Amino acid sequence: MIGNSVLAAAFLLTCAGPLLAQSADDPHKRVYQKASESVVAVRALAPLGERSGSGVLLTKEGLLLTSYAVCPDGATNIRVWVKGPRLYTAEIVETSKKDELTLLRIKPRGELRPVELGESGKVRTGEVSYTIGNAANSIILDDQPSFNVGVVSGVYRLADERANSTYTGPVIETTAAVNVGMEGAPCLNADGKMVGFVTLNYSPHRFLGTAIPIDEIRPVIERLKKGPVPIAEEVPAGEGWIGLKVKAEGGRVVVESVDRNGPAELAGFGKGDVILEVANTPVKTTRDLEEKLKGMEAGSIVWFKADQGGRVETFKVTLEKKK
Amino acid sequence: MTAALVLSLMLMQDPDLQKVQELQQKLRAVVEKVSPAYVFFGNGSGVCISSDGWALTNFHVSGDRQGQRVRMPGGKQFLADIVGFDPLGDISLCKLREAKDLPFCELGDSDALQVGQHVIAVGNPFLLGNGSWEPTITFGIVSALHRYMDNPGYFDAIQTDAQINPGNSGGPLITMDGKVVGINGRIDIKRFMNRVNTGIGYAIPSRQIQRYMDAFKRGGRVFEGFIDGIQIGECGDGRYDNVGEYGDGVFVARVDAETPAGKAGFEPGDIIFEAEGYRITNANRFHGVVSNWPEGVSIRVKVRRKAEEKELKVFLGDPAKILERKRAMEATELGFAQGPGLQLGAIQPGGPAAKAGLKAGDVLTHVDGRRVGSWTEFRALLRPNAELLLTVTRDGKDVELTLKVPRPKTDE
Amino acid sequence: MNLLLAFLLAASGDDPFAPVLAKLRETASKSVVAIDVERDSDPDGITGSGAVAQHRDYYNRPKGPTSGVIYEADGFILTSRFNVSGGIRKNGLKVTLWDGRQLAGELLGTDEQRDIALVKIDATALPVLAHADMSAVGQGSFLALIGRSPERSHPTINLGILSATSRMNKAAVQTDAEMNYGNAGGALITLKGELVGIACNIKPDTVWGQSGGVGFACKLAEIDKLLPRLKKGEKIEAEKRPFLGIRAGEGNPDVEGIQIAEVMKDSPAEKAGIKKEDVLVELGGVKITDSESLKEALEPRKIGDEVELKVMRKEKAGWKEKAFKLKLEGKAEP
Repeated sequence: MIGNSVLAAAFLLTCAGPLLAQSADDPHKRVYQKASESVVAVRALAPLGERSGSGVLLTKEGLLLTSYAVCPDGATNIRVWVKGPRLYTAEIVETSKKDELTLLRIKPRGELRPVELGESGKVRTGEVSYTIGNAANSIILDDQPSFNVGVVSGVYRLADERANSTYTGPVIETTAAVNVGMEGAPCLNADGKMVGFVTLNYSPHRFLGTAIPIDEIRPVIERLKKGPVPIAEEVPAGEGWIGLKVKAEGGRVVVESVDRNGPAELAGFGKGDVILEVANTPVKTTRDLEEKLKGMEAGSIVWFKADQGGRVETFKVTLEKKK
Repeated sequence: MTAALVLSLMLMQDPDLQKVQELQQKLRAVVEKVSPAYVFFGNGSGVCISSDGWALTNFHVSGDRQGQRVRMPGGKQFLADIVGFDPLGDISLCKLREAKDLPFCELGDSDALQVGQHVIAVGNPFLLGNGSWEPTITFGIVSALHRYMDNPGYFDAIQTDAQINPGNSGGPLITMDGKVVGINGRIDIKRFMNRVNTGIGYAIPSRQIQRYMDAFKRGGRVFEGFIDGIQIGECGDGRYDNVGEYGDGVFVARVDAETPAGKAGFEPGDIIFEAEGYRITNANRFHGVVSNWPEGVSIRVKVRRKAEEKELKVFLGDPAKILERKRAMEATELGFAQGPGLQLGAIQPGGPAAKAGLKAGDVLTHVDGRRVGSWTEFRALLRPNAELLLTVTRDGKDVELTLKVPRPKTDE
Repeated sequence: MNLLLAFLLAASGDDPFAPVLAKLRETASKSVVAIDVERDSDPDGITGSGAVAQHRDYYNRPKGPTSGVIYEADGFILTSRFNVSGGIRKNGLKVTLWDGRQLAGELLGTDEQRDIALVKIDATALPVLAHADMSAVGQGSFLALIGRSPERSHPTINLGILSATSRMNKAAVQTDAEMNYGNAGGALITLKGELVGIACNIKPDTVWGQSGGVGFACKLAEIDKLLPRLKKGEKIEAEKRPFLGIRAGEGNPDVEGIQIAEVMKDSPAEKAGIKKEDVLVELGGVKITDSESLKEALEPRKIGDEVELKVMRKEKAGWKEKAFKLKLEGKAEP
């Protein structure tokens, strides 16, 4: 009967399965084939010297994402290597120091393969995890993206800062190798889709790679695509630059805007925050704020208390040199 | 029919666990097959590649010394003599003495490797296997291919994330079919850390080793091939005109006529884009491909000249230097057999050694007052048509003899 | 029937490990605890300048939790001795279970050689893992390491293989699953979720460091042997052996002997004047060719012995032989 023969076929298939099966590393090879042209190397001349790292292509038109550490504000002579090899010069579209991201643009010659974005919300501990990037300058020197496999060892929130990064928030921890040159590299899932952005080299407790989940980055990318925002008028702060514009509103001091990549933005201030205290002194008017900040030099650390979205938070602002 | 249904449902129960267990079984089987061929070599590793005891290791692990004590898993000891070696390419070929029916691993095809492919490293990181003589196994994938670096020269290295640490050097990188596709020798470390693996290890590929094998077996130091008489630049170099885009290859800036490059037919302006089937994209890759062969071999190179493609055949190496080295090798036809530990074997009657008064069993210690540690060192001191003062130990006493090195045979 | 076929074909996807590891994590993690320790001062005191200071996090213990494994259902927990060493404040040892319960932990016995420690909490009927049949586990077997992350409720899982069956004087197995200060003390398990060993020997003074692909787990047979003594609270000290304080490199092609890649701080070798890149060629009149011959040369020696060492040192004029007098000190080697 038909039912029997189909069942028999199913039974045979089950047994024959292992024989028909592909090699266990075929999925790895497939992911590499899919992603190897989507990851790039980035090199730039930053104020503090030449930096190299990785980046990832976002669109066919040449938009690509890299780490702010590799390509900070003011970087020049930005070069991008795409598998081929093809060498491009790139320009900055916009940067976000607090999100540790920089958006670049190149003029494509030939077809570009952007990375496919995944959903980090679906990432589960124990699933396969890949990193691919310019480790030890493998893309720049040899046109070879370095490809590593591991597992997602943990998905959790970071509560503290660590060397070279102020990021706190959700992270994906991966055992796939993360090395110097991988800043700006993507972390991929079993389907070869990007679920994380490798900007953090290690976690203080575990010395493994940590990646910022792509769901955290998506809104930032959308914001950066719009380009630079004009710098607002600042609160004068002696010799130091704070990057904060405030207004008086209903008897309170409210943040009107923060300068992009400025000390206040880095500290976490945003539009609408209500400033309650500065340096342990209550602030009722914008004049109070000015008085307190008068004479403070670049390098000074100023502690604020502000109401952000209904919660009272502490902010640590480090004044910088006026640009 | 119900039984079949139940059975097939049971088998279907956890196909993922089944798949994983299959991989595990396969991995364990490969490990069982290959690890007996591993060699504990000094403070590093080696691998046996033939049943009569040919073995490979890194030069930085072995040097060119004779009679080094090595062990195989389980603890069996052998003495190893380095036969041929390449200090720049960091490979030594050695022969284990009194080796018969040894477990060994065949060399595989590194050109067939794909990024993402499973590989196994066998080694002795941090010498943890000493005493129990059980090597360490690590498992990972091929991370990248054709990686170029110098000092020492890893010209065409396989990059892997299978963890490799100090002590792994000289050991094999193996594919799931149990063949050696590389010899592990180098890692990248994070500057502030201890010397431990960070997920980047490098191995010298088997194809390169196979190309050097004949030269290794002939013995002595082996030199990398290079194209003599040509000056190259990288395509895309902004300082020159008409040199293509970065990624096109390398361009010929200058050719010297009476050289292998001149004789092969290179012309200034040529863009070299392929050699022996390997695509050449930049200067690193050019050096990487050419260094895959030892000097004395000819390879086919493809160039773009104006709108045409041409294939040229070029002899690798400096012919004059090669000849000099050949003469030095021939001058070792001194009429005696080189035994282990610088002991002389059978003496050919009427040969230079016999004429000098050397006897079988003599142990060579000095040449012209200089202490020698190996036959390789001795060969390096030979000069055609020269007289050398040899010091040998005979019956516990030092004896000095004069050896007359013969004239070289006339050449082509 | 067609659905059956379709299901069959779709059943195992590209990442068969994911569901296997997810299941292991669920079941095994109930037996893995987080251990928090409060100390008055930093017991390792790894200070330094430059890169070391910048990366103190790597060298020093984490401020977050480390891991432990419920070994017996009535509250006996095993962890790495390093995790609970160094002056712990009174009532400063806290154990967090999988369900969030936090209990005070009492430190019982420790074993310095094997780097394990026994902690007692006041709880019963706790989930324990079955012990693996070690005859079925060999080089190449997949092993997962379960530990606790900075978020104690969230266990971490690292995957690797069994690298060697017999290390640390047969007391431990070796694995390439990444091991670090956070998951030291955690459970090393098979694909079936059975316990193979307790992760140990990740300390600042070991050459293999963290996450270098070399990790160890103390075998259960060893632990069972020691358990009665640990329960009694015994602090078992490691046997001290004479040591020089050098780390061997891979060899120098020019000179036969032990190439010294590192001279440990405050070690007998440093005090005697041995330097990095020296090649050790003789100890107490015995020729040194490799680590085996060094072991043989040290065998008859005792702590406190003065021995003469000969090294080859590379100077401008070439390799020169140098002699030093060294006093052997004692150290507990793993």
